[in-house]
Amino acid sequence: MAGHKIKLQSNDGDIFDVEVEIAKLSITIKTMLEDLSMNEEEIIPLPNINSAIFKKVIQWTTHHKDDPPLPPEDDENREKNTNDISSWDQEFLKVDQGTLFELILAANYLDIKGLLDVTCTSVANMIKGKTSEEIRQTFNIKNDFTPQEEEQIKKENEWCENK
Amino acid sequence: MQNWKIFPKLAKLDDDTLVFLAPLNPIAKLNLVNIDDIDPIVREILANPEKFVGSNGLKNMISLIFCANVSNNHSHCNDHCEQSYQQCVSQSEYSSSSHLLCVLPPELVIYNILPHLTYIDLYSLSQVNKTFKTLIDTNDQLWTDAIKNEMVDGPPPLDEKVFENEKLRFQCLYERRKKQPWKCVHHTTTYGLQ
Repeated sequence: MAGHKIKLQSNDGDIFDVEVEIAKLSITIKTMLEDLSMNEEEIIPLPNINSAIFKKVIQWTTHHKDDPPLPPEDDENREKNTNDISSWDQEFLKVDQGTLFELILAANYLDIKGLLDVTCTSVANMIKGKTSEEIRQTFNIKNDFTPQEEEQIKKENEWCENK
Repeated sequence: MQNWKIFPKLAKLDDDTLVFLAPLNPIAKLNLVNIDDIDPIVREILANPEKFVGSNGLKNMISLIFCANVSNNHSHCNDHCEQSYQQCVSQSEYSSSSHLLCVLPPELVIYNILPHLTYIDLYSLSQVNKTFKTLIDTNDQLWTDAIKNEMVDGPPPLDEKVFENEKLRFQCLYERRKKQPWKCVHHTTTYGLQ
């Protein structure tokens, strides 16, 4: 079945011909094809994903199509290997924040674990080592604590200062 | 079809912001004449996209311009339009929900992002705003993991104490550890020798 293609349609109407093997890295699409036994000529709509993001997703899955399957996650091997992003992925993830977050949502919707892992890791790396104020600036988050609350939290968290 | 000839002059606010409140149909088809008429608007948006973020009717306006450009094969500034459309729409959507991290479903933040962080980062993030404070302080699994992963020799027994939540337990263990900086860590010192 190598080279066999299916048609996927993004929410802005573009239709993509994607190799079945690549499309099936998305568990959502795999399930649609196998469990719902969809006709292979049928166009599969992806109502949550626009063309720009879907192109990125295809780019990622194409590059990673031969990756060995990820080991099942359990308590033992859940480690903080946060900096573990391959250089190809690092290059791939050099996008603006809006795109990064849309990629996370797309990976979640399509159920592509590897892509979800790497994008979330990238966000975690953006948080790491920053102070609260730096995190606010990075993600454009509004501080909604009152000065009193802030004082209180500072006190609560004193134990963690001078690390 | 919209008649742009009678499109009223754009209202201008004190801060120079142009107001778009026309009841526009975002998929209305326009002809070339119309596009000439809205060129000043396009120019204004392209020049200062951030000025329009969040203003009423902006999305309709931009998507209208965008559609107009596409449907008329009017190639000039197509790319620009598409870009600023994407940019403005995402900015206006996100800015209304205040920030990017909050558009992610909380379960993604909890299960996919927070576990990557160390306790120092958790502590910083919990001081960012109320959402994160709640998300982190009440998440016992995070702190249980922090106790497991970040105390090399495993946590000292604390049988005699009961804590309201795992964060407080982590805190107590951490403080106790600080008072006792030197500790024989058997399985670490013998690591690799057996």
